[in-house]
Amino acid sequence: MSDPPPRRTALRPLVVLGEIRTCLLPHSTALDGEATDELLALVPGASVRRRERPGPLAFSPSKAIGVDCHLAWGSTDSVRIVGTVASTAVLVGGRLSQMSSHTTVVRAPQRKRQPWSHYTSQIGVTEVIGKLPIPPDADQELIAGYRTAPSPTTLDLSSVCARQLGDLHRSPQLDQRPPLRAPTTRLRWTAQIGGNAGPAVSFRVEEELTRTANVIVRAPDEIPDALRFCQDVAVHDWLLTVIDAKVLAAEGLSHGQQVAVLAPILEHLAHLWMPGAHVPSTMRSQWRDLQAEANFTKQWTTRVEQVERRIEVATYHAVRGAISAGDW
Amino acid sequence: MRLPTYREASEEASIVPLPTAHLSMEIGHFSFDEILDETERVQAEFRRAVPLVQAFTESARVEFGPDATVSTCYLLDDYFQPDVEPAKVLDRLLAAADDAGLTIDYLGRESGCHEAPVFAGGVAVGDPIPVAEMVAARLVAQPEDEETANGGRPPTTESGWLCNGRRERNGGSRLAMHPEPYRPPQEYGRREHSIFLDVELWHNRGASRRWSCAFLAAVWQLLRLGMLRYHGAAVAEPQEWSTGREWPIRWKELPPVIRLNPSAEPFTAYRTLSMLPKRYLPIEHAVRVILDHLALDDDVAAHAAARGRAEQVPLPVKVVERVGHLLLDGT
Repeated sequence: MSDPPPRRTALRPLVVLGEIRTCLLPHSTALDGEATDELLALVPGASVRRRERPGPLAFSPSKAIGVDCHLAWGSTDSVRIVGTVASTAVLVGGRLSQMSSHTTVVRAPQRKRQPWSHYTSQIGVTEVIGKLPIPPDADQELIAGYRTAPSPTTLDLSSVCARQLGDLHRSPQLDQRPPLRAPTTRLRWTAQIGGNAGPAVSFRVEEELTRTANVIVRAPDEIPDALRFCQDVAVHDWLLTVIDAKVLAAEGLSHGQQVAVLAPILEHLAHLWMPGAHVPSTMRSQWRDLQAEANFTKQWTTRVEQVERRIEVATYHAVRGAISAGDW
Repeated sequence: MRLPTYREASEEASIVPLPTAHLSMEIGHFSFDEILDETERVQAEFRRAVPLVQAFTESARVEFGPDATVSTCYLLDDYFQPDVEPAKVLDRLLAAADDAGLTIDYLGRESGCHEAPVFAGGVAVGDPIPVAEMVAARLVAQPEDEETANGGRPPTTESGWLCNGRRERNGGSRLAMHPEPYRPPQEYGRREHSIFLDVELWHNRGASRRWSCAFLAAVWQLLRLGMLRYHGAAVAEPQEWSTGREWPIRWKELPPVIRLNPSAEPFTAYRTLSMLPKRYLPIEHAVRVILDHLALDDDVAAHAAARGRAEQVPLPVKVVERVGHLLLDGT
């Protein structure tokens, strides 16, 4: 399933910059279709897009905010950009929530800020109106600049994304009682146009909760597919991150406490594992490549089995303890 | 194009198509007092408009071909003057148009630009569509600061004001030792000098929000351009009001858009033209600033563009470029 086609911009994108934050919805139960529509109705009257198979997936209408700031260029220089950042909330299985913010950077036709209608007619696009250093590696330099920490004047997608995820989670519809505690992960992604051979992906685990991804697509109309791919990778990376953390957290606990930590994973998260199922066909082979290298699925099934066995063992001990105590 | 193997209806936007004319012409705007107390002047204005309507219809034929379709409309002031009885105003207004030989195809209610009741079988049913709120939610404020609006703190319209540039900064500063110099307001996208405009969109009166005339006029343009949908459905679809039927006691019992002429061309159009007395110049300037700041739904915009292409009417991407004005002399 793809997002609505982005407004046409005649200009060839230099690079797409994005951030996706993924976490558990702060709610005790999985949201059904109707509740999903209600939660994701960020723009009154605009439609929430939903899909049920092979698992529920829903997208809010996109929200835009205006920016006029700089993009770091390499490590020392910067260029001015003006335009908008588009954000979409995604709900996976009625359980996981994502906020996905991105902007497509293009070279401006004119080197000064335009009347605002120019920017509102191409939501999710920012134009470089400063002097851009000479290519050939403009996109590489912009990506390198984006990966550095934002300064007070450089584009801060991270703040945009975090704030909008926070707004979503403050919805009165949510009871703030999730069935387990889990962290928020962040995926900072970029996309470039180029390469005749087909899309290519590189994914990197940076630190505990931060990952980066770069996608190379052949043509600008594949950018929405790249975005979908990154959202899907973020979901599965989050699931792995959570299951790893929970198994670790269960070490050394009493058998009863282990069950309390591990059981919610089987109950609420295990069925959400379906890498690539919602990804457009253009990007499916990239999922296979990523799987071949990092074998996400192998790790997931191994972990799930480990969780199941621990729960079995803990149950065995609990029953045995009860028998020897004469409670049976 | 080959269809995907598997699809679900809930993942596709279904946009109800609206019949579309080439040009929607709005003729004049008067307060209820003017209609009641200065009926002759209203009639004179209408008489003056007749040849203009003909001329612009002819002009539309030159631009869009001999089959170009044109409809006319008039916007009633019921939002700010709800206490005047509909029958009194409407009978006078329509008689004046009749005497002047002017055909008004559609009547719109300004209150309908705030909340549009949904009509079925001639009566309002269910909850009205919150049109003004829908449009306000699509405003994307432009960053006031140059080169420092990095998304950390978003530009906002929360105060109810929207401007076309950067506001002035007064010389005063809390640090008396470091007085900031006066910085004049500046219009973005200007040529050399600025014409800075700061538009009040609404103000709050207690719990209720009072929308400005300029904001409602911007909504009116969007309705005429067919750019608003409520979950894909039409908003303020014109309803027939037969000539013999009596006017209701209250405005809200009238549909937001009434079709007076059964053989009228469609209400919504690729382009609009509003012929207004020139005292409306500031309002219409504000309307353009508001339209400049709107991020309309992608699927509605894509639908409109596709329809335009199919009918050989190239549609500008910026909605504001589809809105035309003719400002008439007089007061």
